[in-house]
Amino acid sequence: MKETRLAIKILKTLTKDRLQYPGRLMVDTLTVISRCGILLLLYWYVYNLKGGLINGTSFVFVAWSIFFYFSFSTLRLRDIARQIMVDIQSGNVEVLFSKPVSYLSYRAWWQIGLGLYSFLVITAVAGLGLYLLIGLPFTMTLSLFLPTLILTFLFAGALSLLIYIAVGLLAFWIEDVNPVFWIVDKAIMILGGSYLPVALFPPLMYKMALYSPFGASQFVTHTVNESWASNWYQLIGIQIFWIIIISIVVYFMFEQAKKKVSVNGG
Amino acid sequence: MKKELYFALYAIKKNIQSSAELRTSFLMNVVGMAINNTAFIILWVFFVKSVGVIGGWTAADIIGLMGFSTISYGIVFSVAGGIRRISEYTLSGVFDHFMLSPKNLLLRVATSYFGASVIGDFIFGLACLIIYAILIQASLFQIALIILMILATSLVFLAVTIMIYSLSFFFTEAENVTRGLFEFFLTPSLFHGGAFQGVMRFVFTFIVPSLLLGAIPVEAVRDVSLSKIILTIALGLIWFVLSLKLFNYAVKRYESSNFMTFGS
Amino acid sequence: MKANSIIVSGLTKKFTYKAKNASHGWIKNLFVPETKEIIAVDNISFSIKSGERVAFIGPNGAGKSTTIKMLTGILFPTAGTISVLGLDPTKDRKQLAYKIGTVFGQRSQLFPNLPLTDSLEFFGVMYDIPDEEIKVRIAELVKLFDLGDFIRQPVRKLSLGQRMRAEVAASLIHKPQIILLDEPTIGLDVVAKKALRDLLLKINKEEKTTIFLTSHDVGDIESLCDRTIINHGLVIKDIPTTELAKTFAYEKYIDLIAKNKFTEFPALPEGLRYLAKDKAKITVVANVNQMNLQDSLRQLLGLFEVEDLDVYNADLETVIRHIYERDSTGY
Repeated sequence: MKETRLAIKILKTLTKDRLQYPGRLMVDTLTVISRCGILLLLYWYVYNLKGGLINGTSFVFVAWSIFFYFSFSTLRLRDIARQIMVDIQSGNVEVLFSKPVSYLSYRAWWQIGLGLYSFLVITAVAGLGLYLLIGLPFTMTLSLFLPTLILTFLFAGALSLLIYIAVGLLAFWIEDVNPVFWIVDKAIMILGGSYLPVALFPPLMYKMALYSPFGASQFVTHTVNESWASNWYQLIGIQIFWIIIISIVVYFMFEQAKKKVSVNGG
Repeated sequence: MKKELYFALYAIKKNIQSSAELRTSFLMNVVGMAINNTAFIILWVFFVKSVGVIGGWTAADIIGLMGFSTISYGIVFSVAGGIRRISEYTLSGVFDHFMLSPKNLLLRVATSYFGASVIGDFIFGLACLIIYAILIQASLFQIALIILMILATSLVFLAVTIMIYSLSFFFTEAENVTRGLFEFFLTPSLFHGGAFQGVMRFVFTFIVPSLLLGAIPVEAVRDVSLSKIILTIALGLIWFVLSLKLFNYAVKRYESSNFMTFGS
Repeated sequence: MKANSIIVSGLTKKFTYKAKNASHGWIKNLFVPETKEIIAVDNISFSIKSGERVAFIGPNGAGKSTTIKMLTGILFPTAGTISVLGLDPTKDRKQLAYKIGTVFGQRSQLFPNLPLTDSLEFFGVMYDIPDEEIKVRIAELVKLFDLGDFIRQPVRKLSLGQRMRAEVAASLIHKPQIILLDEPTIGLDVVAKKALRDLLLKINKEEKTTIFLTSHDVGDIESLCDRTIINHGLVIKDIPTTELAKTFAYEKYIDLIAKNKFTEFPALPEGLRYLAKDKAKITVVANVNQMNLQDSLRQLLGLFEVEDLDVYNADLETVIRHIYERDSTGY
């Protein structure tokens, strides 16, 4: 299929590009070390102080949960919002409109392509390191873990892209989308279980994390929890629900945006 | 020197005026930033709720931490916002333009840009510090200390920013490198200070001075600790001098590049 | 008979924008702004046959980029019709995209860190060209554009001239029937400009690609295009480039070579002015709208004794300047 062929080409070419210039890999590594690494050290220290158990969970669960969050974020899917904004402001959006590609899917694959290399390398290396240091929680050794992880991961990726595309598309109407971006980004950061893993959430916050699209876009962090085995299908259902809703929103936004470009320029 | 300062102030004023023009955007930026920063407070407060008091740090101390970090961020980037754009400037060749201006180069670059969002940081930081002062029932002396610490942290922040962004001159893909380093420096400064002990504390005070931005000043004020006060000020000055040296060295190694931008 | 590639008829584009009224407060301006309308393109019509090379020029702000955007389907006209290769850009934009190529002088479409071949392959896939064909096409382009020397280098290491050649090559990967170029020679040195122009002439000849370009460089127009459409929102004239000078020149240049020596330079009558004065040669510019050539020559020959006489048109650049100036004064 045409779309697939182009998508694969985008991924291949960008990965090749990233290999040429390891600057991005270095940034991502430093980011992961400074955020995730220090955070894990912090929690390790804290868990030791508290005798190994907080809120009924032990360090190893929390550690992997946080790791999944940061490994997922090395894909930097959030950058698609900025990229769309820049496209609009620079007029590059018109260049892309004159090509036989669908703008949004082109941009989405492009974003994935930019982050793929960093993501694979860092996840593999850091994941291995973490395993050697602290081992795995038992939930990760269950047979359903890997397939559901992959599924959640794919849906999380799609949902993240959709949310950030919606934010980016606002640039067709609002001059400076940054404030909206920050708010959405922070909501995802909080409800996604980054600096504070989901397992340590108070009940109200946990509900918000569960039912909001912001939380749903980071459900990979829930996969290590003991409750996962019994409610994974619920969470995936929630993801699918939000994917559908936000796809519809994006679709309408994009149609309006195209109209706007075609009537009044960028 | 007086002329330099006068011009710098003039440039800052012009910057503020030109960005205030976009009034709605300006407001949105300020509010957006404030909300952005509140997110961290929420996180750490919930952390403390779940985990309890660590290293003597309470939820109030978190507010103080955010106060110091964001206010110094706001101060440094209102006054010297252009420094973060050095990598952009070198890529586009705009830096040459600055080198030709008759004013001190660093000042010229620093005052070349002002992003409206930093006012949000400043207001937010100020609000946090006021709340913190109330929460710890600060004495007059402590309030004076807070002000002193604001100056010290701003100095440290300014110094490290200059150093990191001076590195733009040494790399081709400078944007990525500087952003990474800046992240590495800034992120730990927003973390719960009480959890940094032992080796971690040493590394992040003396090698990457993230703790000087917020954690140590908070402890300095809360405990009225003379040693911490002196530490912060002394290190601030040392970093500042080092940063100026690095900047001047970097500029010497500067080469300019051509104009074409790359779309994707 | 050659078919029409592009047919534009009665094309009009009006933009509305929100204007700040200085006398209203800023709140009023925020919520109840005034809308103003500007007419960027006003009822223009032209047609271009397949295989032609046409320059589309006009002063800045004349609506050139607006027109090009309407041709590619990015912008919709307010009124009028466009047909490009038999397709309506507003309805069949994607289909049309497969048949046209675009080059924007200031914007690169290539991957900076990778060798050119990667960018070419990438575009090949984008235009759904089968892998085997892509290889063949790249080989063709390398030969045609003489890219062999630098095809393996990362694009950011190329000189501007090489990069423009690469950009044009990339825009032709899918053998488009029309190529639209927006200021392709901007920033190039004299040698690189000629190379690019020759290349475009070659493409036009060998692949019969219709060329439609905008440029501020008179050399581009002169050497490359056999037709020039001058646009000032409404098409002024659409004529063979060689005729431009004749049609629009209202100034004639007259060189007078002295028989002995020119010692006096008396004041010239209305319609004539000195351009250069020398005891050996005088150059006079005659405004034929004010005084016809016959009278001008008679006047001059009455004033000076000449050995030789040369009468010629202004160069193309001056002519074009006149056209632009004329329109701004509503001549």
